[in-house]
Amino acid sequence: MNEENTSNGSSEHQVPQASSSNDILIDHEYRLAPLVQIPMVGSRIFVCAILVGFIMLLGLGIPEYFLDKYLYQPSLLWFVALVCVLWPLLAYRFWSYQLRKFDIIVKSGVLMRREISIPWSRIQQVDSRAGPLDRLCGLKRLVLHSAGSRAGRTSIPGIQLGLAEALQGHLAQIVEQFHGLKGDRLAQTRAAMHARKEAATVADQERPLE
Amino acid sequence: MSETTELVWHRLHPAMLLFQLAGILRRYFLLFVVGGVASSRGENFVYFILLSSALALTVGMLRYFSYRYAIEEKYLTVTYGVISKNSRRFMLDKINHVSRHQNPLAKLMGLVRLEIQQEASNLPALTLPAVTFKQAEEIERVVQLHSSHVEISEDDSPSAASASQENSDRKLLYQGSLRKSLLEGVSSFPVGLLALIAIMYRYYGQTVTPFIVDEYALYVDTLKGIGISRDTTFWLFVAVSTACLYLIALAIGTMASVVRRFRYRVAARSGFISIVSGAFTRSTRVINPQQIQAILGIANPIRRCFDACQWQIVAPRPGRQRGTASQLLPIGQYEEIAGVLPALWSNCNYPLDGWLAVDAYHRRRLWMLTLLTTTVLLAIITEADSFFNPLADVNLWLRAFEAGAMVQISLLMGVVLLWALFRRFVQVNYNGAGYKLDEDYIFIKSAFLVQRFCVVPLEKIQAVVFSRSPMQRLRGLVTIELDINGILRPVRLYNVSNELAEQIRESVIAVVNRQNN
Repeated sequence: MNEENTSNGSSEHQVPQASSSNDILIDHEYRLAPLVQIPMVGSRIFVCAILVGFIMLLGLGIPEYFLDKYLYQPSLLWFVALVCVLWPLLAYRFWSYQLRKFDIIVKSGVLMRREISIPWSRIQQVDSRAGPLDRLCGLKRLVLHSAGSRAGRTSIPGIQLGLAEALQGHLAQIVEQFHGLKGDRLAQTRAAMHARKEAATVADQERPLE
Repeated sequence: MSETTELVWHRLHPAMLLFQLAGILRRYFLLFVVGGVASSRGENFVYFILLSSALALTVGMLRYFSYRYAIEEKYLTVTYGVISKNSRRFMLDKINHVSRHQNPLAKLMGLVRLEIQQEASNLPALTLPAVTFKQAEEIERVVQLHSSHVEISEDDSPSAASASQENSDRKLLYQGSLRKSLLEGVSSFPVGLLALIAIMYRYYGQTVTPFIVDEYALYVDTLKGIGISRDTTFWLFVAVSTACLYLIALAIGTMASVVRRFRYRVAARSGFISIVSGAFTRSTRVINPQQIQAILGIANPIRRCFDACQWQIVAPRPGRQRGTASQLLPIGQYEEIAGVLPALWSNCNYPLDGWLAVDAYHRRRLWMLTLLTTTVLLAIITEADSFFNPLADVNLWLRAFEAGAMVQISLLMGVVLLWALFRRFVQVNYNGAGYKLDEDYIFIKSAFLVQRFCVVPLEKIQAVVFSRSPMQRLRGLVTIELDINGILRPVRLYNVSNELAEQIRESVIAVVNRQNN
């Protein structure tokens, strides 16, 4: 990664430009890796299977006519199929993220489209996670932590391993750069405050008693 | 360790023993009562009293002797514990909350209970149960010296207040009054309702059913004489009982409010805001405005009639990320908050007028919400089948009319009336929504029965979230959600144009970036 742009702390923050194989492009709208649909669908099928199993287990005591009327209905099967298969496929289509100069934008949602914008300096920590299906597909999920209450943990699924590592390093670098500058200024402020208080104490001591 | 040998340990005030005894008595009160009653049947009552007193005294003394603290250059070390010895060492520059508390007994003796909380800690606050004012001030001074962001809360003490030089620049911003307390009480239904339920449960818990039956029988006997039918009597009984309960609840709520808000006042002092409250135990919270993330205002329909609002501050405490709003003005007019805001943030001016309206689609959304609410209500109070298939059940309704089923007909009429009323209210709600964006702050107000205000400094926003429903996408509108640290309910601005949303986002990013530079 190009380090030249990261060293400029006093003026504007510059997002470093990458030049490795996993290029990180600024203002480019990244889509999720297509393979992410497998863990997306897989996890929903898993949840639905557990749910159906649970219902069937409990259903031992449910009257037959009730199960026939409400549970074993084509409409229910269609609904399960929609939830398990179609919804993740649609969700994949609308997932994207974009690294900008001063913030990151994460877009998601099928019916209600959400667009989360987190300024770099607000990000406290960047984690990466990979479940069993993610690992099978060679994918990772990045989790951005901020101090917010609602969007305090924003995750980006389905990033290829190489890109995920590059991205995590890149984000960590930017976040560190922003927080480093903030820390420097805080330290300067505190040093100035200590100096003022010490000067005031010395002045008090030197003042002649009335 | 050489560092440890150089430490100068301080003990707490010996009166801590008294507080410990009071604490033990309070904590094991039930045990003492049971033991006392059990022993009073035999001849062991005196022995029980002596033994329990000796035990409590020993535990209290052991606790007193185990409690001590030392202040180092960068650390505050506190050791305590009888059976398990604890030692907590705080980095002074990481302490971000020191609070003083003073109950009536401590006030008599001139002592305070000091609570110290470290930032980003999930541990409970460290408590020094009994220290003198001098010791408390010394600890606060050292902490303040090391920490630029410390927030100090203290209990009010006339002696300390007079001794403090900081009081010289105190400026009163808000003062409670009987009129405000009455208004708050009259419009705070839940307080009275809870108290009423507690009282009813306490006194009528076992006999509530016979009580209601007797009351109802009285109604039937009285109204039968003037020719009112049994159905009408029943609904009249329900209406009158509900109205009576509501009035009693309001009366209790009002009394509670008058006691709670006795001499409530907010003042600015040396760049901090102090809030004095409490009728019996006077307590003062001193808040650093830098810790405040947002100001929230909530006005229920009754308060909206009086242009009054309850104002809260959102200032997150360590270990609690959500829901950290606390009282600023229990009830205040818009002019009052406009006077308080510049004391919190110097360049913040509350817009008494000049609010910008959101898109007209918002009115339609409110109307749809109203329709949905009343329709659901209608579906609940009538049979679902007859509602979803009304033509098939026309005969049923006609028969109901013929039979004079006044209950169903009046409910239906009630819902229709609600529709008409809500339609009028939609316009009021739409007028109650708006926003104003200036260089450093965003002001948002929204309304759906309850009106909510929000003042957010742009530099405190953690993230900006846009959400678009299919209808909003068609019309090029956005709902903006501002993510703030420590807030329970999301701050939302409904139905603004894409251009304005982009402008708000860019303003936030510019301010955050300026803050970092």
